[in-house]
Amino acid sequence: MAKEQSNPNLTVDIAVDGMSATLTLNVVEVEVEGEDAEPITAEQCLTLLRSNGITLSDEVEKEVHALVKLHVVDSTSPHSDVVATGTPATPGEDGRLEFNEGFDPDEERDLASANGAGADDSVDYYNRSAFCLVNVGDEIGHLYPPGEGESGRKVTGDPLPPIPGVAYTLKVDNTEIEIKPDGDILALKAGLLSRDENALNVRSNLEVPGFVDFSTGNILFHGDVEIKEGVRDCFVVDVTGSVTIHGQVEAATIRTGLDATLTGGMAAREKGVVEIGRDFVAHYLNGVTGVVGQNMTIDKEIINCQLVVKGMLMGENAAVAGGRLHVGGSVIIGELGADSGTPTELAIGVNAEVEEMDAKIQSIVDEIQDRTKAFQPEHDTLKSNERKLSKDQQKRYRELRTVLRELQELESSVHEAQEGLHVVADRCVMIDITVQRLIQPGLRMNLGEVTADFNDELTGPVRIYRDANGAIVVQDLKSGEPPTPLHAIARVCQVHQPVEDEQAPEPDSAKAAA
Amino acid sequence: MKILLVEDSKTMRNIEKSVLSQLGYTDVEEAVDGQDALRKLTEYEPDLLLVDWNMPNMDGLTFVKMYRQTNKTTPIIMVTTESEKARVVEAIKAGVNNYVVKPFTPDLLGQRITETVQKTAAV
Repeated sequence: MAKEQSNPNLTVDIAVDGMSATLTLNVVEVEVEGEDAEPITAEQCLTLLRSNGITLSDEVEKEVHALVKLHVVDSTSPHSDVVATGTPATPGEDGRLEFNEGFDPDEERDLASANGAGADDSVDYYNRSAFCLVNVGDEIGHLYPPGEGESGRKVTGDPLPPIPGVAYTLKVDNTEIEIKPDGDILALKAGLLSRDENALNVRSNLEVPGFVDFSTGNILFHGDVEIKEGVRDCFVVDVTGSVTIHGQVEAATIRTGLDATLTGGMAAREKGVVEIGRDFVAHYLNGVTGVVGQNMTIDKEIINCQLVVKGMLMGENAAVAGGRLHVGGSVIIGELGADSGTPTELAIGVNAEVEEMDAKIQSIVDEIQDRTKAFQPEHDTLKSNERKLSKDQQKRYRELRTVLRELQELESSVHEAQEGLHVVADRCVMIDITVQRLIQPGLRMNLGEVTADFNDELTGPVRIYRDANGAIVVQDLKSGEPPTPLHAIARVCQVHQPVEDEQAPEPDSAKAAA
Repeated sequence: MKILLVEDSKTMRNIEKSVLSQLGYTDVEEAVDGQDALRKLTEYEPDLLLVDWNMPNMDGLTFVKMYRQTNKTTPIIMVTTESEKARVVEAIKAGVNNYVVKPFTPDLLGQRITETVQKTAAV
């Protein structure tokens, strides 16, 4: 009871917080004996309320009239009621963070219920992702500001200030995520969207706890990836950084901008592909096709693979059997070739600069051919009607004939230059091959300008290299004896010019007979 | 300032006295109707009259007419209701200086008292 207007007949109590006013109609005292007590009227009540600062409204008047009615019915007992009520201030909504669809990092992405490709042709089960991945510019969500709330009023009409909501505090790294002035949240970096309480960031590391399969979808990631298990058939792991895969990789595609480490090996059944930007380390490879940007290290074996390794190949305990390996740098390997005689090919010499030049030359050749294709139809049409051509058409025909002849000559020149480049490049191939245990018969080595076919077993450790004179020789690393020319051990042929009998010297008896 | 409060309802008189007290006017005399007021005015000279409209024996309008016939220029504020506002002109012609409609706030009554007294003093 804060404020009370004392009056014999009427009292009003205003609550301490000003949010209610209680009117009490007391028992009216008879002033003069024999006379009726003065009746309490609604007008008096309203005047009392007003004089105490109470804002009068239809509701208040209604309450007063109802109370007065009660008093009229029974004026021998007091009547009291709350006749005015304030309006409490409404607190504003707290600020909140809302993610756009597909960008809630905490949302469960259950892909495991998929029945496999083909269960529903409208759904690409491979390209659904179990992870919350973002790309640069993605609109992740929106940060809503707190509401201001609505002000209230006391019974006296005094305003109650609104209670604003609490702002949502979102911590971000400004290099990863931008919160725009209008509240939109943008990704500034590609990666894995991650949330830790009130912090939101974009990670460049993704860990796949199990297999890459229908439960995860393909992995297309900006950053580095670690896969705890393996990768199932037909799935794609394509990362801009490095990838480490602990389990076996099946007939999948592995693409990296940087390194790849396959500790569980890869059994690709001639369907799997690797495109490794930098170094490649694998336990074993079977039936894999691909390119390695720099060096490759192998633990156990490379079986029936078609691989280009632009750097070195290292695997002093490993075996290469079947398939074709094209290595740009030196080779250190345990065994080459298969004891079953399965053809195995080792080509040496991948020069990035030469490849680049070759590609440019090829693009010129392609352009010449395109232009030829563009002119050829018109030329052929005019040629087929040669005798009936008008003067202008004859002139046009002569022009086209000249152009096509010039293009043909140009194409020939360019082809010649391209072949010349290949010859020079092959001549400059650096040869440094170390085989620790054995070279099996059936192995073919492409060593730039020559190929060498090994028809007999050669026990290691041996080193094959180009000596100071430019000759390709084989050095037995155990015996310490002088190196032997390659042509004495393998059947050697020139790649660009056929050379007869260069491989083995004539026996003396044959010379004497001649 | 001395004020004569002319109001038949005791309850209303108490309310108005309370409001006047809030405004600092504590020297307040009461009269229960117009006749009682005329009687008291022979001995009591207020600075302001606060007169209700509807009263038994002698209503407010009649009292004002009769009071003005005594050549008294004491300022008079008529306390009226919303429904009686239309007759304010009649009251002013009879000699009322100002009016206030009930229910009124203390501020409004205070304002009316101040402006009435000031205007009368200026004249």
